[in-house]
Amino acid sequence: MAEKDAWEQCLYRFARVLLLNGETARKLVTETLEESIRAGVGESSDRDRVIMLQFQDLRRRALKIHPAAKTPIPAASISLPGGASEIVPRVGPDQIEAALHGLPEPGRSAYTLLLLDTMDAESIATLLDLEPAAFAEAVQGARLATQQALAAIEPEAAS
Amino acid sequence: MNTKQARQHLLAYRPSGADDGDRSTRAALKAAAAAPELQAEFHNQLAFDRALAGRLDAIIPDDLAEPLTEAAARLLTKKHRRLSLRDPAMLSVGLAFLVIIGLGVWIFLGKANSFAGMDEVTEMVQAGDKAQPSEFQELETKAGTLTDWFAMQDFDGFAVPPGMESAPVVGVRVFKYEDVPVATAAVARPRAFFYVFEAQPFGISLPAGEWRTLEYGDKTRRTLAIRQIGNMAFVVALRGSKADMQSYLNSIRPPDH
Repeated sequence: MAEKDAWEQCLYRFARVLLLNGETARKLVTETLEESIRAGVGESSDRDRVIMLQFQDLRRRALKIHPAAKTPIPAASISLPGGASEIVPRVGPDQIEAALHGLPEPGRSAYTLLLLDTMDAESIATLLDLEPAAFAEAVQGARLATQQALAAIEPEAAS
Repeated sequence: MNTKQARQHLLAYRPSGADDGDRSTRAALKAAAAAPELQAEFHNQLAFDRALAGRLDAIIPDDLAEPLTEAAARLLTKKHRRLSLRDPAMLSVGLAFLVIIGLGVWIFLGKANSFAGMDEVTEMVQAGDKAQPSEFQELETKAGTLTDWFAMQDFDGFAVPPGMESAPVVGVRVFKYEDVPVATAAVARPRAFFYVFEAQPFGISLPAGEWRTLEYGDKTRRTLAIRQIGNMAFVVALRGSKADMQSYLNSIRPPDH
């Protein structure tokens, strides 16, 4: 029985955010896993590292297919507006997906992986080759940009 | 941890709270609890992140969940699957290994029973086996008593291995094979021939006390066993297989062997 918070499910969700296309994401995740199986990546005794490598490999492939946006992100010193979470129930999963997809890298991957909750912050920072401070700034910038993107959605479109 | 450091740490806080047991996270949470502004910002951030994370969970096609789980299981359990004896690859490797071992044993056993001068000795024994009864001098005695008899026939050095002295001899003769004198004794039980000759002309050099056995004979299966006694080679030849010969050798082995 598949669990919704299993890491492989998160791998697919990550692919969806990076590509904004369900079929391409499905294909990419399957290819990534199958190639790792063929290459014997799973023979490593470090399970967490094997999982991290799947996300890293998938991201590399996804960025080749669909490079990230280059829009600037807000400064990490800015705080999230009060009551920011209230907008979330008013938008659909597709709009959340699109908002995350529109973020620039590495903030997009940093924030999405943090939300998917498959790895700890240190592992995500390692995966993205970021120092802890840079990682925190990237996450906060992406968080603020996501909130702004969701807040900009017209109530009619959101419904 | 000061407020600035705590904020930086909490910006990357996992919304599930999975890091709460982490020492630095505990310190950051403690610092935030002491700073109302940071505490409020953190709670606002946490509510936003948790709301988003909850919505992301819905992104998965129903028909993909199970195949993904199976692929992930295959990835993470490949090591164990590879080591399974039911794995065809493992079976092939195992089979190849057994064949190599078997080949090695076969070669070793073949070499173990080969010796220098083997072909000449086989020819000599085959020639000796064809001797007619009339070519033997009748003599009923024990094999261990023949040294003097052969010495009187100008054949020095006749000797039998320990345990074979009491073999019942019924006839004796000396013949030459490639100009090398060969003392022969016909034994009644089991029906066999003892051959004794100088080892050096045939290049025979065997470790002391070790037997080499060899099957020969075209129509009738016969086996010879050879060992060296000083400068002389001793051969016993009888009808039967290597197993028969081994059985005979075991039966005559002296008690202290």
